[in-house]
Amino acid sequence: MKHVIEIKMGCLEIITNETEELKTFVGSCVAICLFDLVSHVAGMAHVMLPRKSDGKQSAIKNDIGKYADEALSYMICDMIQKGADPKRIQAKMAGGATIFAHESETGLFNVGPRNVISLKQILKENNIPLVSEDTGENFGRWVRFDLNSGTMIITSNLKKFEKII
Amino acid sequence: MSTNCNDLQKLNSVLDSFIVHKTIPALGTMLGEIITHSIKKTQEMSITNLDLIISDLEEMNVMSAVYIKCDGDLHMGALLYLPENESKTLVSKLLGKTISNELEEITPSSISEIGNILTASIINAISDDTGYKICSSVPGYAVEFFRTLLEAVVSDFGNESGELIVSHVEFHGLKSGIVIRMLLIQNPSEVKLMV
Amino acid sequence: MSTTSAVKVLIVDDASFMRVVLKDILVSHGLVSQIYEAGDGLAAVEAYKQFKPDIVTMDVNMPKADGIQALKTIIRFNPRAKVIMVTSVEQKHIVQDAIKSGARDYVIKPFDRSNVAMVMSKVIRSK
Repeated sequence: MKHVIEIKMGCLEIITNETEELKTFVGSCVAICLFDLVSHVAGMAHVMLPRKSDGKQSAIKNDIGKYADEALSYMICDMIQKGADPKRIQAKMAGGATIFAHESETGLFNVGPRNVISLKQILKENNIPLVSEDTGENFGRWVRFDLNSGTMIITSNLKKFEKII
Repeated sequence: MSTNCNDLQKLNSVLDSFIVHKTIPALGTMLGEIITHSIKKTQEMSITNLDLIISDLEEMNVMSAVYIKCDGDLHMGALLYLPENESKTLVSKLLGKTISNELEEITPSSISEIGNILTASIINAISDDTGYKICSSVPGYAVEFFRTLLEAVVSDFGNESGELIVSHVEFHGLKSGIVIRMLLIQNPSEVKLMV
Repeated sequence: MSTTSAVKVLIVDDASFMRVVLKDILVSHGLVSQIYEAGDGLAAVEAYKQFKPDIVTMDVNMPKADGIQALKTIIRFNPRAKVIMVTSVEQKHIVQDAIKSGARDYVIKPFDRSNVAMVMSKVIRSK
C-alpha cells in the first residue's frame, strides 16, 4: 500500500522512497514532476504562477512551489543533493487548464496556459526532457505520481476519465 | 496569521452592510422577489488549507460559476456560483420565461451578468464609503466542481503572500427558493483599507 | 433625424443576455424600429459607421475596447452621436468620464425598465 503525500497549492515535495506516491489537484495550476528513476528520486510542485516577480527566494519551503521558476530551481538542486543525476532527470506535467472563459473572448483568464509555457521554457533552459503531459482544456485534474514506475495518473471527476501518462 | 480577530470581525460587518445596502436590492430587482442573505465568518486562511472551506454540497455538485477580479485602490476576487442543475431555473426567473432547452444557450451569459452586477454592487458600496477607485474585469464563466473553481480563482488572484481573507455569502430567493453563493477573497494587507 | 417610430438603435454589450434584456425593453415600449448589436468596443465602432444608428446604448466594461474608448471614437466620427452609457459600476469617476467624453446620459444595471425607457425617449427626442 503506497503512502500518499498530498501536495497543497504552492507547495512541493521531494521523495526518495518507492513506497511513496505524490498527489495533488490542479485546475489552472500545473503539477510538475521531475524524476530520476535510476536514483529513485522524484519531486512534484503545485505551480500557481509563471514567474516570481521580485527575484527573492521564498523564506519558507511551504511557498516554494508557487512560482514555476523558483519551484524548478529548488527541485533540481534538492533532487541532486538527494542523489539524482542531472543528466537523467526527466519531467512530466499536468494541469494548466483554462477554467474560466468570457463568452466572446476566450483567452482572457489564461494563467493556466501561461504556467505551462513558462514551465516548458524553464525545462528547456535546464535541458530536462518533458516526457509526457496532459495539459490545457477546461477541467480540473487529480494527479498522482508513482516513483516506482514513473507513471503519472490523471483523473477528472467532471469528464469521468482516468489516464496514465 | 497577520490579521487580528477584531479587524476580521469589523470587515465582516462592513461587508455585510455593503451587501444589505447595495447587493440585496440589486439581486431583488433582477429576480423580482425578496432576497435574504447570510454571511459566514470572514476568516484569514492559508492557501494550503482551502480544503477546509469546501462543503459536502460543493464537493458533490457541479457548479455554474462566474469569476470577476477587481483591481485599483483595492483588490478583490469574487466567485458567484450555484449548482448547475439550478442555473436554468435562475435564468428563467431573470427572463420571465418558462424553463426550456432554449435557455441553455443564454445561461452562461445570464449567470455571468448576475455575477457582474452583484460584484459591481459591492465595489460601488466600497467606493461610496471610502472614495476608492476600483474597476472590475469582464466576467469569466465556468462549469466545474467547486474545488476546481476555487483553485483557479486563488491562482488567478495571484496574491504574493500565502494567505487570503475569505468571506462566504449566501443569497436566498424567498419565493423561488433559489440559493446563490458568493465567495469574496481579499489580500490580508488590504484589510485595514476597508476597516 | 428619424421619427420615434422609425428609430434605429445599436445595442453594445459583451453579454448576449443584456442585449436580449435591452431589446425587450426597447421593443415593448415601442421605442425603436430597427435594432443592431455589437459585442465589444471595436465591433461597436464598425457597426456605428456601417449602420449609422440614431442612438447607441454602450456597455462600459467590455473586452478588446471598452465602452469609453468606443464612445470617444464614435464621437470623433460623429460629434452629434447620441450614446447612452450602460454600467453596473456606478462610481463617480467612471460616469463623469463618460459624460465628459460625450455620452448623453447613463443607465445603471440592474435595469429599472421604466427608467431605461424614459432615458431612451429623452435622448431620442433631444437635439
